[in-house]
Amino acid sequence: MTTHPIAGDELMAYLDGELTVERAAGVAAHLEHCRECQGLAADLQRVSRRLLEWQIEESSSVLQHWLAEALQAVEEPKTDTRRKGSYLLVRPWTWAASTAAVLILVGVMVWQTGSRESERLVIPHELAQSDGAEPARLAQSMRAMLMESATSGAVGGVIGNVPQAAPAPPPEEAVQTGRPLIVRTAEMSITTREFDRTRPEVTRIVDAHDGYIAQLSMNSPSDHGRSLSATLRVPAGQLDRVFSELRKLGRIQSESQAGEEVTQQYIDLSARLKNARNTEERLTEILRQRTGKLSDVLAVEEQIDRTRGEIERMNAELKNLSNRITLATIQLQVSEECRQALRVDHSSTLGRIRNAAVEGFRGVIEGAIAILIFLLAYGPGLLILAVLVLFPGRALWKVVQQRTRPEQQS
Amino acid sequence: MHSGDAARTLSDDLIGFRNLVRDALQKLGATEREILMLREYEVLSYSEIAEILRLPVNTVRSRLFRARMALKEHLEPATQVNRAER
Repeated sequence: MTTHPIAGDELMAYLDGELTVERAAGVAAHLEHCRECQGLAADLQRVSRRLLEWQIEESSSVLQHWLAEALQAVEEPKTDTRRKGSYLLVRPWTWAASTAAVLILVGVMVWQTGSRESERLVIPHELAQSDGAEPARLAQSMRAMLMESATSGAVGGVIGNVPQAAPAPPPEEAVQTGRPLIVRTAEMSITTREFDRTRPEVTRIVDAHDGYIAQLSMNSPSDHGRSLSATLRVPAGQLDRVFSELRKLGRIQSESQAGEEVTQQYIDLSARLKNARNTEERLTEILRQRTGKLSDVLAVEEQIDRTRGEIERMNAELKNLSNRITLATIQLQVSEECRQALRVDHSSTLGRIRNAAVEGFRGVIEGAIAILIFLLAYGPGLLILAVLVLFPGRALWKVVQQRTRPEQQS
Repeated sequence: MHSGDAARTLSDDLIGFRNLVRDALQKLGATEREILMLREYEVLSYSEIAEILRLPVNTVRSRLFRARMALKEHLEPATQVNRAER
């Protein structure tokens, strides 16, 4: 080492891409003309290659089969107990099928001589027996590695098959049976004459189908009929029945249904959650077993905190998604039909009568005033005219009468 | 028990190779093996490994080198160049 300008581990760090740019340039220049270093570099690369080959060989065929079975044995019983609650009552045949599945799995587990050992598959399986607590940790890190490589596809094709063999962890029966996961939503708009009956009726329908009212608001404006708008959540399987019962509430104005497939989203989220949990487990294990500088401990703890935050977030997301899958959402609009017309007519009739009365009264007064004004304006003129017409008329009348009287006497 | 079952279904060459690598890994110290695994299979950087195992980065580097050289010697005893000792 003293005579050679480049140390062995420095050369290795160069091959691993771990040197600073300046150091890497120096090593690269040296490597070009140093045969000894070229030999060492080739050795190091060969060792890495052989380890990878070994990893792929180990996980092939039989071992991979075991791995699939072991993962199934570890995961399935848990998921089974979790989903019993919701499906047990609804579908008896599902219960029977899952019981059979549990029995088979128990059989597999017994045959596997315990799940702890089956978790240590692949490489650490053999190593595990060599010393005490260490292998368990190693097994865990290897398992986490398998999960990671399975999602990223980093360590070759053979390992890439793992996720298909391993069932998705969620409580959903559908994922295991390969049925698609669908988020169902529906909208309905109704008009009714019996608005007072509507609200208790909606509550009854929702309760009868194990659903709940997520949101409800009522409006009763003075110049319109009352209206109700509600968001109902009912089990996805009951959606059609709930819908047909809601139709009886009144006259349908519009209705629509929609479904969004989220199988892939669900599986992705589950896989990411599982990876994060593995990471957390591994970090916790490391924290428990190692002692070191305070700053290091704090750094790992910080990392654990971050991972936990991530897990919480994904958990919430997954729960929300499951919720949307198991419970369909109905947007219900109910509006009232007749009351509005009656009330408006009633008030306007009175008004119209009152208005007509006022109009009539005002008309009479206006008329009287108009006549008075007419008399005042034209009266004197007419009086003079009358006098002018009346006196000559009267004189003429007398003259005519005097002429006819002597004719009668004679 | 299971590895025995598996071995019978695989070719002799493969068994030989598997045993060789497994023996080589078994001969390493626990920490060396762990560092090697984290580097080769999890593809972590030296500093990440150091953080996880709470070791100085230089220690990780020298131990990784030792582990690789030991593995190489075990896998290819005929072409030994014991550079680590130089």
